[in-house]
Amino acid sequence: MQKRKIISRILRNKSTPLIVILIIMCIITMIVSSGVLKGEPLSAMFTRGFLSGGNLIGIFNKLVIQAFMMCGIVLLLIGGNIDLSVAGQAGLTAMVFAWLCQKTSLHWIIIFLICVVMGAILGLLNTLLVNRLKFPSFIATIGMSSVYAGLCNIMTKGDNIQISTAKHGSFVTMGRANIGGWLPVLFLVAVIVLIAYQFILSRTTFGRSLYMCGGNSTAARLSGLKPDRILRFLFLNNSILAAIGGLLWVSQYQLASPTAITSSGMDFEVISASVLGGVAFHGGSGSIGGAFVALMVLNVFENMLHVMNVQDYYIVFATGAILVIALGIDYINAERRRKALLVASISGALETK
Amino acid sequence: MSVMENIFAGALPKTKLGLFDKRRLYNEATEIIRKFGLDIDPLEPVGQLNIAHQQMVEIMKAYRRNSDIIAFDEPTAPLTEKEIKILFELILKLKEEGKVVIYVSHRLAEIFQVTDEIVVLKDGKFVKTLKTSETTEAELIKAMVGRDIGDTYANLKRNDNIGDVVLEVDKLSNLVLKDVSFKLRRGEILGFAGLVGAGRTEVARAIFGVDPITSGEIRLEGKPVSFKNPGEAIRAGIALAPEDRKYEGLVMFRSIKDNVVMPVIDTLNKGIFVDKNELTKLANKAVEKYSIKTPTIDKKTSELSGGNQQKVILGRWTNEKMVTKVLILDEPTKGIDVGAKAEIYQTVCDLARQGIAVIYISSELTEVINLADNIVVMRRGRVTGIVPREEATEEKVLALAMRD
Repeated sequence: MQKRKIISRILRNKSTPLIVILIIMCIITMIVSSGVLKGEPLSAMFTRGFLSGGNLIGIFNKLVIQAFMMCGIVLLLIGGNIDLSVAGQAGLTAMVFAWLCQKTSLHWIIIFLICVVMGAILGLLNTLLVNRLKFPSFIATIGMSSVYAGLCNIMTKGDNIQISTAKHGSFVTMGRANIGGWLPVLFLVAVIVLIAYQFILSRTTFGRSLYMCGGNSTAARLSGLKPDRILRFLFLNNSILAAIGGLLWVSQYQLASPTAITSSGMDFEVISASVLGGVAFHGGSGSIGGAFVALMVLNVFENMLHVMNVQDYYIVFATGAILVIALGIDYINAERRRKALLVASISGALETK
Repeated sequence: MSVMENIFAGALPKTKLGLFDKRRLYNEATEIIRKFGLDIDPLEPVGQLNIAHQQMVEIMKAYRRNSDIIAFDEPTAPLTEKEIKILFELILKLKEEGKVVIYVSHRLAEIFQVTDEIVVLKDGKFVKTLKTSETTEAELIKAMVGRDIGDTYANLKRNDNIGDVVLEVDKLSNLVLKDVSFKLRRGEILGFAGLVGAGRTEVARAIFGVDPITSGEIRLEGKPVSFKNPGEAIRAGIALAPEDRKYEGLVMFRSIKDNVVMPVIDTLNKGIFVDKNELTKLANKAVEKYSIKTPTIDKKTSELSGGNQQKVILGRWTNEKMVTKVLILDEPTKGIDVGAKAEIYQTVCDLARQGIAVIYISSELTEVINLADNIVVMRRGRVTGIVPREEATEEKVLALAMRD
């Protein structure tokens, strides 16, 4: 009985199809990329191509910064808002961090904290635009993202800033530390953060209030919740997380680049993965877990095409196509909801007659 | 868009080349405006005209289409006396040209001024047609009220133990309201009657801290209060079930459970986590108390019937963690079937018996008259009268609701 219950729960879980897709993709990539099909010994599956240490570290490293961004974005989306400037904020804080590392003799931990505060200030700026001046968050943040990307380039006229290994050895070690040559320590940190945010969403009164405000902010306000205050927190939280993500990226690559984060499209990937993973674009539902599984699917898919030597252009095309389909499905669902609501109100009115 | 373009919207004159003929448009528009005897520049953007003239442009547009039937739906609402006079002259002119004019209005005086025949509708049903010249205002009101009150109300177990004053509203004014005053007692059901737009909902919103107040005072149990947001009002013991359940009352795609505990969620902490047992207990009690028809408290409120949705809201405001002293119900039976309505009436009486003071806003006169202990009648943001239950008749309340 107990066993059957567990199985039915797994089958009903919204993330299950995504997890299945993820596993299948991993297996296919593993087999094809290792060259087993071309006569390599079976043991090559675990040492070459997809499962090689270098490739896995590459995937996990990108997931670290994206995981941090995701915790902020998923909360914002559930609250019925969006921030399209996360990559810009992450990139700018990364540049400022590297610049301060180079120009000052402060310990990197202090500079790190300064940059987190800077992230918070960027978050306050977004709140000012959206909460106070009532800009739609979509427009306000897409504009800010250009501002940040521009600032990154202005700072160094487009050059990268290296982190000196001699001066900030422990910072670099932090980014490079790994277990068994394939699992970065920072990825474990990211997973802990993801779990913490999932707990905030599902187990705290704040999480509950967030879902209600995102589902219908008018009704939530008339029931004594404070959607404005929650929204302010969401933007602040989101920007701080984006800043931390950007800084960890610097420690992984020992440099800050004005373009590597801001124009990588990784923020777009995070938003799309959230929606693909079941977060409603208009707020009110979704979870971190589902979103992160979807993010892994996107990243493995991209990596699969890479290790199979598909040309970059096709990769961009294919990921784009997947995202449009995912967003399309969400849109159709939203429409269906809207119609259900309409039908409900009409039938309610007819009942009266 | 300019006045002339609006008048000819959808039928802009074209030159032989198929281009837009501005000169002809100007001439024809000027012609129509002259016919109407108005002083409007055809080139002026409509957005810059005053509301009365905008209305006139609408009417010219209808006239230009050469329709045989022209319908006016509450056309005088935004107009001043002088402008109304111009409009009536226009209507007479249209009549002389042989056009049929349908004139929908809740202002009885106007109806008698411009019409030849009056059609009375009630609750979406045709009642009768009256000849204006052979009808008096009283007769018209009687036809509008109708006579079909069942004994739903007679069987209600009412509260006859009304206590001290809980809420006192004194000369409350804001953008919509003007000097609204009334007193609400413990265990009393205070009905609010009036036409749509009379300001009843605005009174509720002002008390509840949604809309700002420009002057006047609200006293709760003798102490002056002014709430900056609904949260403060709720903590002080005031609750509002808004008119629009689907967009203001409930978060439709969340569960009954989430909707019931919404105002008290902050108190349901157990350490850093939410106390799920307590939450489930509160929701289950609400379902039980109001016999909400649902298999589980995890059902989304969008999947419930209108009556059950309203009960979820009542469950929210009366759960044991709440200290509700004043419950404001804005059109609580709107969109609810007859059976569920009777249940809601009894529930409201029960709440009054428990000592809660209820403000009951409704556009259904029979409902207010039969349910309320006292009826506040409003008209254009003002209180035009407070009628005690014993003296309340539909004719009396309606007359107050339409008094100018």
